[in-house]
Parts: sequence; structure tokens; C-alpha cells
Amino acid sequence: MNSWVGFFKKEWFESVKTYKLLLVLVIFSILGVLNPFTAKITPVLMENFMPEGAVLNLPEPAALDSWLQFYKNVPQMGLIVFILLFSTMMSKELEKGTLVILLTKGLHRSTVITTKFFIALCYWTLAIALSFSITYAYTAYYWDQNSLHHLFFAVSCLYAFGLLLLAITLWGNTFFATSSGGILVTLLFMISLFIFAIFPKSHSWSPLELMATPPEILTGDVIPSDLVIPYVLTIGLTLFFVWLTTTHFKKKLL
Amino acid sequence: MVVQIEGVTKRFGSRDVLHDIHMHIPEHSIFGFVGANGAGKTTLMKCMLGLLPLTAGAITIAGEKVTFGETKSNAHIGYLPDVPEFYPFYNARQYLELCAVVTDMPKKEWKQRIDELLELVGLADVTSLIRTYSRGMKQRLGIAQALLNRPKLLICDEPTSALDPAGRAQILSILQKAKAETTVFFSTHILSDAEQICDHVAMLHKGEIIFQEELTKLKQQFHDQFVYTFTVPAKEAMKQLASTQAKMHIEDDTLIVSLPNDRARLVFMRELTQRELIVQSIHPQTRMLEQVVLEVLG
Repeated sequence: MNSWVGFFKKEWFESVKTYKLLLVLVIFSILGVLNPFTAKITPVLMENFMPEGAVLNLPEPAALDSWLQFYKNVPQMGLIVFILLFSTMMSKELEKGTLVILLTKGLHRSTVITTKFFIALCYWTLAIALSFSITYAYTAYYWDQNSLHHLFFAVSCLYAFGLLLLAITLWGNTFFATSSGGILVTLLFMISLFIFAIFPKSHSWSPLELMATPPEILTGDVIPSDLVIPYVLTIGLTLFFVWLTTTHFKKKLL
Repeated sequence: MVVQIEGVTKRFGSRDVLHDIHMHIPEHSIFGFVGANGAGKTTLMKCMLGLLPLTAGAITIAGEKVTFGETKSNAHIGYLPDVPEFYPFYNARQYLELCAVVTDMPKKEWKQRIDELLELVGLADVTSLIRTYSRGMKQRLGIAQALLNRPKLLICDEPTSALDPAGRAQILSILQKAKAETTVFFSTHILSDAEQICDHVAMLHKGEIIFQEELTKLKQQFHDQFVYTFTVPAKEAMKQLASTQAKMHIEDDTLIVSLPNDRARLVFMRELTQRELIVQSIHPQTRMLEQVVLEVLG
């Protein structure tokens, strides 16, 4: 077993012992169930809350409503909770000094960063796969999903955007070596993306499109080729931030 | 020499934390590095580990030059920080296995080496998680991990400072045993610890080495000193003995007297009897380092 695998095993063991696995399983399973459930129950709830005698003509819920819930809940709740869960990956080790012994034993600094990013990537993959599978199966139980376009490509956009935020969080967390550093940097990045979004031209390249357009992909209003630039840019930025974190950590005084 | 430190200076901003340090550590010795808190001991150790860049000078360990960052010289070093921090969700064996992976130790050697070290540090029967360990147990595990890859140099930063007397004695005994297979370089501000086990001692004061000596030579320097206590205060005793030939001074209400040979000792005893000074206790001077420190610092 080489040191990369050994350190990755430690990351996995730690995530299990600190209940990250349990939290991710529970939160993203609930979100998976919640999406079709909310779509199904919303018209019924609204009818019940209407004043007596008022008539509300709501269309019958469909598979699209369930997926709209998915693209509302997972980025808004799931991704935020996920970033918070993984926002202290480096700062906790740097504050406590647990890495010093291992680094003086010859553990490469790049190994630390890449394993930490990879474990976060594995968890994000698990989270999205879990939430997606449950939503897919539950939606298929109630409605026909054949009318939806590029279901898998749409979810891959959200997945890629999540990876970018994870890479930025890791960099901020390593650079500032405080638990709030990663979150603050990610927040600033999101704010700047929203500011860019005011200008229509940014829609052709902004990574934010990967989070905003999946509902339109499902309806067929946006096709995958429209998102090539944001997609490539997002993946490129993700790799850049992982590289930047490694470079920065190599120069960090411990 | 397993360690050669030549003209090392380390500056933080405009402040020199280490200034022109020269030090040579021979193999299979215990080298005590003494100095007050904040003298710069940890900084020098971190420089030796490549955790801090040098402002000037060079450090060579086992023939390998130390560079900042991922230095190859660390392959020859085992390091115990002043407050060793481990992953609390592991037990001692699991943590040592992680260290074995990181140091690329062949898997077939793991079990025997880990068993050996757990036995050495007295943690062989402990199966609980590290989060339940006392400070002393953590220090002992720290020594075990530091010795895992049979390093040529074991660097320990204040390994006994925060321990009770029993814990200190255990750590000192482990370090003494470790000398058989490695060179021990340990920092401390407890002078008696250094006196107890070291072969060589260097003292750092305000970033400079003010004293570096073999302990046997130091012992020779102090072998003629005796510590007397009397039924009267030491000041009064010294006043009464002022006319004698012996060199003496007061320290913590004891009288330290230099008596270079048997004749001088007999003469001094006679003087005491003549002046009716009743001796309460007498023993050879053992706090050599403290003496040196006081002399050097004035």
C-alpha cells in the first residue's frame, strides 16, 4: 500500500468516525424522497389552504415538477450543507497540528491535498447519486419521465458545479487555515458569479449556468452544446484550484 | 557527526530568533538542548525538519542537506513535537500502521516493529482510542512513532515538560534505551533532565548558543564542589568561615564549598568543628548545569 492509498484510508475512516457518511446518507436520502413528494403534495396542500369557496385550477403535477424540486433542493440545501461538512478539511489538521508528524515522516504535501479533494469528490458523487437515484425511482413510480430531455447530462452539470465549489472551499480553507476561511471564499465566489450574471453576456461562459440551467435542459430549451464553455471552464477551474491549493500548501510554514 | 549545523540564522521580520548557530551532534549520543521558553529551541528544530526556511547557514543531517518543504533528510529523522497531536479515532497500533504506510515500510516488517515499539513505550496492552490517552501516554506514543523507521536521529521537543515526575522518569528511561539504535537530540528547560541522561549539552539563550560541552567534562569541572547545610543559616555559617582557605558561595540557603582534595576536605571539617558549626547535610554538587547557566548569564 503506498502513502496515497494509506492516507486516503485514513480520510475515509475519519469521515465515518466523525459521522460524515451518516449525515450525507441521511440528508441526501431525505432530499431524494422530498423532491417527488413535494411535487405530488403541493397542489393538495394549496387546495386545503385556499379560503373556503375559492377555486384553484392547478395543473396535475408531472415528472418535471419533481425534477424542478430536485434542482431547487439539492443546490440550495444539499450543496450548502455539503460545503459546510467539508469546509474544515484542512484547517482542522492545521490548527491541531496532526499533519506535522506525518509530513516529517515523508508524506508528500500534494498527497494531503489530493486525497482530501478526492474523498470530498467521492462523497459528492455518493450524495448526488443517492439523491438522483431516489428521485428518479420515486418519480418513475408516479409519472412517465420519457418527455424529459438529457436527465443525466443535467445532473452532471450540478455535479461539476459542486466539485468547483469544493475545490474553492479547500483552497480557502488551506490558505486561511481557519474553519471560516473556506466558507468565506466560496461565498465571495458565489456572490461574484451572481454579479456577473447581471450581464447577459456572462451566460455564455459563467459556471453559474451549470447550476441555473438544468431545468431548461430537462424541458429541451437548452441543449448540452450550449453549455460547452461553462462546462469546460468549470472543470478547468476545479483543476486549477486543486493545483493552486497544492502549490500553496507546499510553501506553507508549519 | 549525524548533524552539522553551520552558521544558521533565522529571522522573523526584523527579529533574529536564531543567530549564527553552530552545532555538531555525534552519532549514538544523547544531546540535550537547553534553554528557557522562547529561546528559539523549537524554531531550530523546525529548521532541522525543513518546516521553516533558513535565513542563512546550512544544516546537514546524515550527509543530506536540509531544504525547506519536502526535504529528503527527513528520511533519517524521527520527530516528537512538544505537544504531539494524533488522530483521536485511532488506537496506538492503528496510528503506527498509518505511520508505517507513510514511511513506506515493507508490510511484512510492520507487525514485529510495532510490537517492539509498543513494548518499549509501555503501550502494548492498551487497546483504547487515543482520545482517552493521558499526556504521558501521548508522549510515549509520540516516541514510538518517531522510532518506527529506525531513524538515525530522534528529535524530541520538550518531551518531559508537561509531565508529572513518574511520567518524566518513564520518558527519560525510554530515551536512554533509544540511544542504542539512534542519536537523540532533545530540548528541555528542565536542567536536571538534561543532566540525568545527556552525553552532550548545548544551551541556547536569546537565539545564540552560549555554552556547548560534553557532560563528562562538565562533571570534572564540578567534582570538587560540595553542598553543605547547617543548623544555622548559610549566611551565618559563611561569615564564621570567612577566614578559611576554601572557596565558597551561597545558593538557596546552602553553602557550596570547593574542596579539591582529601586534605582540603579534612582541614575544612576541622574548621567546622573548631567553630562549632553543626552540619545538617552534605553531598557533592549535582546541579552542574544550573551552576554553568548562572555563571554564563551572570
